Amino acid sequence: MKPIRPLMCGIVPPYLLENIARRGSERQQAAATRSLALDLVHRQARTAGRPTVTVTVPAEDGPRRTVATADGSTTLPGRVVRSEGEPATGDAATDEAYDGLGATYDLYLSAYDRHSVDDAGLPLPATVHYGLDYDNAFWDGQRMVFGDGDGELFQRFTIAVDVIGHELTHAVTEATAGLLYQGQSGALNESVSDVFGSLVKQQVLGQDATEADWLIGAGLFTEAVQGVALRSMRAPGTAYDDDVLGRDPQPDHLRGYVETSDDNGGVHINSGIPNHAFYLAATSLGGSAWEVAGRIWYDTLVSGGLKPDADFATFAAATVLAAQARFGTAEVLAVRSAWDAVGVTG
Amino acid sequence: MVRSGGVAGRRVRASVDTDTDPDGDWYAGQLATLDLPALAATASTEAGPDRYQYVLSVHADDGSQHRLELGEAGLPDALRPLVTQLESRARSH
Repeated sequence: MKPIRPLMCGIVPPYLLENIARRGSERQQAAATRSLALDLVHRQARTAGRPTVTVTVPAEDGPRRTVATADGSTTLPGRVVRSEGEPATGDAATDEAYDGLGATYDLYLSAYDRHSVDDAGLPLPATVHYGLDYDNAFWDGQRMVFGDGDGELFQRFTIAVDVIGHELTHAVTEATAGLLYQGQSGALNESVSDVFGSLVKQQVLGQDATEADWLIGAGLFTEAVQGVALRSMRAPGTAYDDDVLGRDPQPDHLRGYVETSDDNGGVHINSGIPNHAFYLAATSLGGSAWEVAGRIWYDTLVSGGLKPDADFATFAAATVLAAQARFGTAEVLAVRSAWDAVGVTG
Repeated sequence: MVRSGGVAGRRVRASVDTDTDPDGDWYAGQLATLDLPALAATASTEAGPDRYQYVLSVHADDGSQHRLELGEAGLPDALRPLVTQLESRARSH
């Protein structure tokens, strides 16, 4: 709930607002209904000779989360266990998904004035307890899905808020730049998800760029694993080195780009390169990473100038343009240097 | 089987020799129920974000080979038991 100052004089007549309230889009309806409520209060106050009042109405901006459980099956969407506004259930996966969806929503709204993943208040559904020993989480085009992990290598995937942010960001990318999920554009798609996933975590923890650990999925591994996270943006290739998992295969420079047919052309591997560029830019600029570096990356995504098959060089050039458009020389230099350092000339 | 992709981006493999493996009979039984050429022809490699990608290779005694490339999103139900067992095998070896 947030207090809203009423209009001094209603320029839009009530009958028009009433039509919108009946026939508009959901967002328009909410706005019109609110305006009508304020209008009424104001008219009554004016008639009675009282000064205008501040009215508290439900905030139009808020996530609309629904968490369901697949109960160990692979059937989606599953059974709803927690809807928006309902209290914690006591099931860790359910409550972590709920909180993580909210935290992701909050980052996009507070930092970029983006209202949910589609910037039109799209509801946020998630399903937990998907599959058995399922060591994964994904966005299926409509909802987020989380496995419980196998308990030997991986814990439940809701345990890491940056993974939740990572998955939801795939929806943002789909709604904006639409980076194709293969090759370099796919690695960029993956990197964008890691970037904003990390920013969600940093905002939740109240960390600036120097305090952040720049790890993706820290806390996901069990104690049996020799590793700290799925990936490191600070030092790609160092997140884990384990008998079973193998070694973190990420490169931190274009010269280490991995050509493979696995993993849609190594999208989770080669994302290390743009990840590291973001880390370098953010730490060079300092402060809260979502404010400048994150803003530049966000502007790049929504600019409309990125083609879905953009490669690293194209993306890099676009980030420089975005830095120029919103900020100044220092920011442009930081971004350029970051890309140079990973061998990408934009 | 080779599995790649997923949010962890790992490459995971599992291999079974149905002649020598303790569970060989079960795997052989599974393969016998599958129309591999038909599955290969209709296989979907649809790639959703952070979904797995599978490559299933079957080598028969008579020298014939089948190779199926599959995206997790379009994994046929008929293949699920086999894939699930192979994934479990990959975790424990």
